[in-house]
Amino acid sequence: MLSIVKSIVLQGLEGILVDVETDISPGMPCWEIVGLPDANIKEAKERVRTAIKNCGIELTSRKYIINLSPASIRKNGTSFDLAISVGILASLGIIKNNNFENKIFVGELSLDGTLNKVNGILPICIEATKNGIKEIVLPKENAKEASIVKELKIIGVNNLKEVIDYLNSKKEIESEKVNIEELLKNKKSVNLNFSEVKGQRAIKRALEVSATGSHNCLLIGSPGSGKTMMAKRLPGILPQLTFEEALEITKIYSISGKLDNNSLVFERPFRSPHHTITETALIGGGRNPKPGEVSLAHLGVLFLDELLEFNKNTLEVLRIPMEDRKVNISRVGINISYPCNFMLVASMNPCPCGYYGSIDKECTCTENQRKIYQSKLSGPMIDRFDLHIKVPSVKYIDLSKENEETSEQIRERVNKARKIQQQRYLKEGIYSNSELTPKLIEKYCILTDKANKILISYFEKMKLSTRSYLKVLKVSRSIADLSEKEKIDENDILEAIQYRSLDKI
Amino acid sequence: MNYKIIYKEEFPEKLKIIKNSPEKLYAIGNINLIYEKSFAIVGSRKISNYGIENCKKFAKELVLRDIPIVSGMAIGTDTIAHQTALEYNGKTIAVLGSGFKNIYPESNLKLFNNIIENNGLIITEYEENVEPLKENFPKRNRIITALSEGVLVVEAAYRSGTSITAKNANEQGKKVFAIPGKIDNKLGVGVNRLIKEGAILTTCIDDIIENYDDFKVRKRKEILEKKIFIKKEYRSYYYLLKEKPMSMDEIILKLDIELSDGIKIITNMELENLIYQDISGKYRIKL
Repeated sequence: MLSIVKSIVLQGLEGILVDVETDISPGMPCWEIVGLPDANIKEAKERVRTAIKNCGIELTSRKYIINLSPASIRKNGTSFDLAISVGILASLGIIKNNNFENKIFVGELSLDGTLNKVNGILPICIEATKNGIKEIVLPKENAKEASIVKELKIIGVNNLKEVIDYLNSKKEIESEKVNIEELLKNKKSVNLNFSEVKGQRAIKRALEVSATGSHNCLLIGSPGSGKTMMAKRLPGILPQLTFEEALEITKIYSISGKLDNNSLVFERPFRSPHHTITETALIGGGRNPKPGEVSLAHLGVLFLDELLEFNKNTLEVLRIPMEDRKVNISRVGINISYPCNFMLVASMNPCPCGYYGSIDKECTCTENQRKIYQSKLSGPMIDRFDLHIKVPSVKYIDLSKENEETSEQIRERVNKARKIQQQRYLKEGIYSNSELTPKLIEKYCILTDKANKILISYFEKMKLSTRSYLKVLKVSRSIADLSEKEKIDENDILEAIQYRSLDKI
Repeated sequence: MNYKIIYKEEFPEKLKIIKNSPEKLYAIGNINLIYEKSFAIVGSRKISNYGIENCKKFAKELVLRDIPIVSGMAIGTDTIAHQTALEYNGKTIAVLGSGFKNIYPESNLKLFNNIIENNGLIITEYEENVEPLKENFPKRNRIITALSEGVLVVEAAYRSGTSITAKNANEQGKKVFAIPGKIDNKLGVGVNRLIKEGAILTTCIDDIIENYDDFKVRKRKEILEKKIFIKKEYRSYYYLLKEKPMSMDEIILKLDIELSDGIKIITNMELENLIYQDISGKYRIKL
């Protein structure tokens, strides 16, 4: 008898409904799964057969044909186990209810019939609702994550037996519910706080400005000046995530299997890949393309510590994703795209030994070494940074005094300024000042006369490129937003100029 | 390149008498300088901040007494010696280890032109096409010492060209002066050894000029400190930074002002070319 059960396959963040068609007929006993399954789906037949057997159901020797339609799309992952076994059981008449129209089945089977969790549940649920699905049957462990999608009836089950009983109406299972407001309230407090960074007020202010407009920023300084320490504390002052943003981030983490508490990601991500990272790991890829570090940093911070230690090619690969704010990955048969709207923060030493120009320690590099080192930072790469800040080293004596501002205090200001931006750009489809295009800059970055004069004289004196000019404007917009000014005045421009140290060489 | 050739007959006595005196010299610039009583400053290519400060100090004091500074236009000590001489409108002679078509190092091409434009002199014993070969450099050192009354060694590692210069000077009967270095610093080893072997320990300019009757009588030119008018609101900042380069945090702490005011004034001063931010993030007065 033929049965059709629905499941879903993800291509990137996009879901495609798959009909799992099962036919059992007399003939030469065999099992065949067709419809471009990957190796891990082909293996499903052993799991499914054993799991059904261990549920106390005898499988007769017949010809089992399972087709995954549309058959032209490559499919992979272990999430089809459940759909396949439900299909077989329905064909055998063990599951009597044949109304699978608005249901999908997702889950991996153990040999004893237990359902194991799978990755990508959140995007699966979101895509399922888009395709008109009303109910999803999935492993209990995934239920909490899925419940964020309110439109869907979420049936979390522990094992195959429960599924059979549920479908045969022998057992009631409540749809999993979650209170999102409660979740949002329950978030952890910041654990890396800016109040732990003593001194460096000027640098903190600069980071506050970058956080406000999500500006890319480059920190240059000797070892021990606190570049890494401060960068690590950035997520704590970034503006609060909106629910939609949290959803977007969670989707990516769900696919990569990096969701640790099975619920929403509340904090903006902070990714700091090691400098030995490969290009693929950075932008994503693999045979079944997985999101790379740039996508994992989506709506958060990508921190490249020791920027110049990175392979030059690896850095150049970053350029296009940064411009497009998404990565396109093409592999055999698939073409997928992941979002990567991140804020790039990088740190570098002025020379290989790190002490060039330092007063406390002698630099041991030769002129040539220094030149080679600095030439690694290409012009186009420098152009990607809105702020470049030289970080002076702090002497121990300065460290004790003063009560430092906490991340919460800074975040409050940043939040306010970001809200102003979100409202202003409501119609433009962007979120922050860093995304302003030249046309929008003209529209929204309005200067006072005095400010304009300063900018023009700076521009002429330093012989700047138009690009730098626009960056100064963008950064000054963020500074003006921090003090809730509508027009950019001379103080804002001057401060923005202060954060362009590589222009001034 | 427009150079002149100085033949042996035209050489000053001091250059004729040395062993291996060159047959002729190629020269660009103010040839008269070779007849003047001058002084050499040499040292390693790699130079510490301590070395830089000292090199500047002694070069300045010498040119203020109208003594031309002779050096080799290599990177490091040589470059700083020449630059300082030019900075105080002094005279300077660069002795190259290559021909005029192969200025070495290339990064000093600007300095090369500066020396010529500022009435300095550049000489070499090599024809214009000669490349900067390794063996040329120790050789040209004998000319550096021959032209000068004495040699000041600023910094030197254990084995370096500087030691050869000092040896040349000794052979030519010239006095060798050395600024003592830290005993645990690589760049201090060479100079300290020179001192052990009899070089004159030098800590101030008088240590040098006391040894030369001709230099002793010269009067130090008073430099006119550049009188720049500094706006009232910049003054406290300017004098603070003049004392010592500082980071933004140190400035606002010292002056007890708001960060936003500090940023505003400092940026304005940068734009007006009064100060600049050095590579370590501290603000310095522009000279």
